[in-house]
Amino acid sequence: MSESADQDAVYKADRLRAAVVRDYPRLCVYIGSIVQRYEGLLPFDRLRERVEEVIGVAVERALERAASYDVRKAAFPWLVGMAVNVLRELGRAARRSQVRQTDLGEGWEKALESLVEPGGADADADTERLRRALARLKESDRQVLELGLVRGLSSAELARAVGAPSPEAARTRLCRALRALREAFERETGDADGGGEGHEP
Amino acid sequence: MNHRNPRVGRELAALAYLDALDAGNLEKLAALWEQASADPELESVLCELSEGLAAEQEPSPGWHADVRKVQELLRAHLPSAFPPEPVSGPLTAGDVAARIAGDHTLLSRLAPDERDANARLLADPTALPSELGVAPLERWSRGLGVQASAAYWRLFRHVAVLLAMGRGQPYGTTLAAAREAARPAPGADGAGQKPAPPGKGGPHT
Repeated sequence: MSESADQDAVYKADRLRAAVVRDYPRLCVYIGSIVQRYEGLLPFDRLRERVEEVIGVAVERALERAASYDVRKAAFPWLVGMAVNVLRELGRAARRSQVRQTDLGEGWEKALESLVEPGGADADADTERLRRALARLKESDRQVLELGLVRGLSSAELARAVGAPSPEAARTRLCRALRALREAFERETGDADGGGEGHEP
Repeated sequence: MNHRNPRVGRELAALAYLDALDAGNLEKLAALWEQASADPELESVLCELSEGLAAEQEPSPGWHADVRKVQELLRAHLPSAFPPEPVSGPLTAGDVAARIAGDHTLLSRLAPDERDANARLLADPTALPSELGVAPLERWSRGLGVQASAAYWRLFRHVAVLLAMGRGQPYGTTLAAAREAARPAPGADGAGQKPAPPGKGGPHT
């Protein structure tokens, strides 16, 4: 029994090591990007030092905990999560900005679903607000949302359609456009609550 | 939260990630990555977003140019992160599925039911057959009890062949299988040699 448990632990540790070796470059880019976001633009050597420190601790921790690693889970995101936790413990992230904690409740999410599947939901007040919010957005944001969210183009297709330099850049644009939509929806909600000023295009 | 439309759920998760990143909420970031380890769709979204944001941040190709050096440094300072030799032992269904799951380009080609099939294979320690031809692999896959499309098994086989070659695994017909991968002919009849088990890193058998 213990031999099989040992084999299991060896197998899991091997899987994790293989993931570290295979994904180390990506891990550096992701963690480096988060460190830079909080510590500003560091000289590359300093940045590398920080990233090595964080990933080093995360990998050691991952290997120590290999026996409890659930092999049904993908190793790479598990490692990134662990590295982000290490970064947090090292106190490297100062709160960078005051992002308002928006809690628009289910109304916003349901309205979003009805936007994507027009036939599938009740056209309630939130849906109407969302449509008005959408109409308020910049043309480029509206286009990205229409193609990426409503029509469901893949990131690669979206990049081609909107002329983004890469699928990853298109994904980032889509995410920011969705944030802009949420903010506009929030304003619509505030306007509605406060009696509404009307906003004809 | 359950979303009727998975696309909406995915985009909201991406937005939650961006919010957490801007708010310096590392706890939330770590939680999202942890969640992504069991959700290939979310993993793919977070990877794309992270790469997109990193590309915006960094005008020079610093990391990409330096990665080899960094890996050498890591090897020197943290030998425990690297196996003493290339990962050995016969390849398993789980190894191949993990390779597919770890590559969001490959993953993005799969339909949802194919991703489910791949997720089920992740925990499967069954060793691959000694021959990776179409026919032997098809017979072998039937024994796993996992239903997936022919397109999925073609991708699985392709990845298996590449992994076996990368590992230098003594699969008798690996090279032949690699050549054969280019044409959809049926494979040989599975009478090849058994994989010689290497010295360490024993897999499940």
